[in-house]
Amino acid sequence: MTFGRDLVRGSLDLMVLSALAEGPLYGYLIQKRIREASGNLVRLQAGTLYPLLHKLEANGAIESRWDNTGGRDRKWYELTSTGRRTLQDQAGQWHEYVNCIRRLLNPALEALEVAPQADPTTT
Amino acid sequence: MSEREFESYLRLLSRFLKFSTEQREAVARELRGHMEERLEELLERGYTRDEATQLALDEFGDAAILANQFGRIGRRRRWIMRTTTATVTIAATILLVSFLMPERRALVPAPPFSMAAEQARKPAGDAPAPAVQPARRQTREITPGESEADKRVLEQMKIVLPTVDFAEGTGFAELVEWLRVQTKLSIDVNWPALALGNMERNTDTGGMSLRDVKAETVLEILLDKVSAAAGGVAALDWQVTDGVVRISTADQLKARTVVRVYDCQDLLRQAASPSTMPVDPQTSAAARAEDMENLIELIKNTVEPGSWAPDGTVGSISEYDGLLVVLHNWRAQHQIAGLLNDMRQAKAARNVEGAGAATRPAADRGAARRDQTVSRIYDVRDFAEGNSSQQALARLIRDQIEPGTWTPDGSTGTIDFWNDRLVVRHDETAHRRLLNMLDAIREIRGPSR
Repeated sequence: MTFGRDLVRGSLDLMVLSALAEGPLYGYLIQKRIREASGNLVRLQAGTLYPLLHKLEANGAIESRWDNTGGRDRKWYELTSTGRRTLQDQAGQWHEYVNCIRRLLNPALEALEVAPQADPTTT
Repeated sequence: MSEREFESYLRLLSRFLKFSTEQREAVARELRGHMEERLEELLERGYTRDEATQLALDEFGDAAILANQFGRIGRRRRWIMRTTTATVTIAATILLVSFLMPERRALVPAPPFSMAAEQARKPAGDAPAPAVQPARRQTREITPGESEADKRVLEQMKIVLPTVDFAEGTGFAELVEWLRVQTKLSIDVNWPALALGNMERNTDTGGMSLRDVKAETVLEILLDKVSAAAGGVAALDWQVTDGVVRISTADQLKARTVVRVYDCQDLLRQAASPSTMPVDPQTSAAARAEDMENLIELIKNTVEPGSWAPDGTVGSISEYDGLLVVLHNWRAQHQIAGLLNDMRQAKAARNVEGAGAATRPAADRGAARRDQTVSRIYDVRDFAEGNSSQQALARLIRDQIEPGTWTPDGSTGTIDFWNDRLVVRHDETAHRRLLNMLDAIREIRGPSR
């Protein structure tokens, strides 16, 4: 099952920033990284990704640099120190949030006799 | 072959992007790279070149909408540039008009989220008190949609007057009085506001000689003449609030905002008809939420685009339990009411006639006059269903109908798809051409349903 739009929308920034956590990537690779890391559950459309990248750059969370090696013009993005801080902040918040929701949901899930999904936060 | 398609898409996108040439080229370069890589990947996976090209383009969506997404960032940067190059006249007018307003609420940007919302009266009817986003300006009252009194007045303004015959030298106030008598309506003129634009009771209207015109048309012509006679410093406009026709300067009217609540439950995708299996509540709730989101997006793009928070500073729109809560000036609210109404008619028509019938354009509403544009809904599901054919149709319309006038922030025209219906905002000429084109397409394709 893919996730509802609302769920995904709220964490797009976080997803892109975390994709860049291990080093610079360009748009196409960012998209690929997110898709793979999410087990193919999050498929970020290019029409959403690129405006988002530009927004993040405008806000100073990431910076870009053009690279023409290999005959292909590519715009590489990497986290700025601000971006890294934001990522750490938000990731921490998300972790708390997920635990909180899980605590709230467990009794409800039991009542409905639905088996909780595998923990998505374990890596 | 695919390069050509990519290039024409990127060229179209560039045209829409509100960036410097350098930035536009950079965006095009970046996206081109992505398209090429995607194309390679798809070819490797066994897609034909045509399929792969189409898929690569589909990923980006409609060029105008995409440019709009980029534009949201650009606007913030440009706002900074604009204020530093602002003309003196604008600043002066603002100062002048704000002097006029005793409460100084109109054009001086108020701090966001003022507690003026508490002054708002409770909504009429059984609607639950909505979680209203606190007003940015002084709120007047929360009204469900357009009040009945106002609707009656607006209807009355459409009555046809057989003769209008006034000689040159007839004063403004005299013609207003005549309209009062003819329409039997309360008409109030904000003379102090007008005085600032050199308009007063005795301003020469230049006379009028018309036959069989609606009262609202007479009024609009009158306001144009008076404004011109006074040197065109300030445009005049009219609106209906609390059952009274108010005449004032366009700026002053535009500045007053009001909160309105619209019930949109009936416009969202419902569960299947009672006779069929009940739809999974989760899915239908998600579908309705998505519809609501799309509806809000649609309204923001077609009604006073650019004025909506967070990018704009005039209006805001929120959803609460199937209710749309909108803060904006009267004109925008009037357009929204009209748009929602058109959608209702389209939906009703669909249920009766089935797909294949384009909604006959509704009568022009006075509110659209100022910009000369109006929003209309067309049912095109008989030949454009699904994302890529919708986008293809949108591209076709932009290229064929008044090309060059379609922009993402809608300074002239916008195209949106809502619930698979085509919603277009443009002037009458464009709509007429569009209708002809749609009819022609249907004729060529033959009866399909």
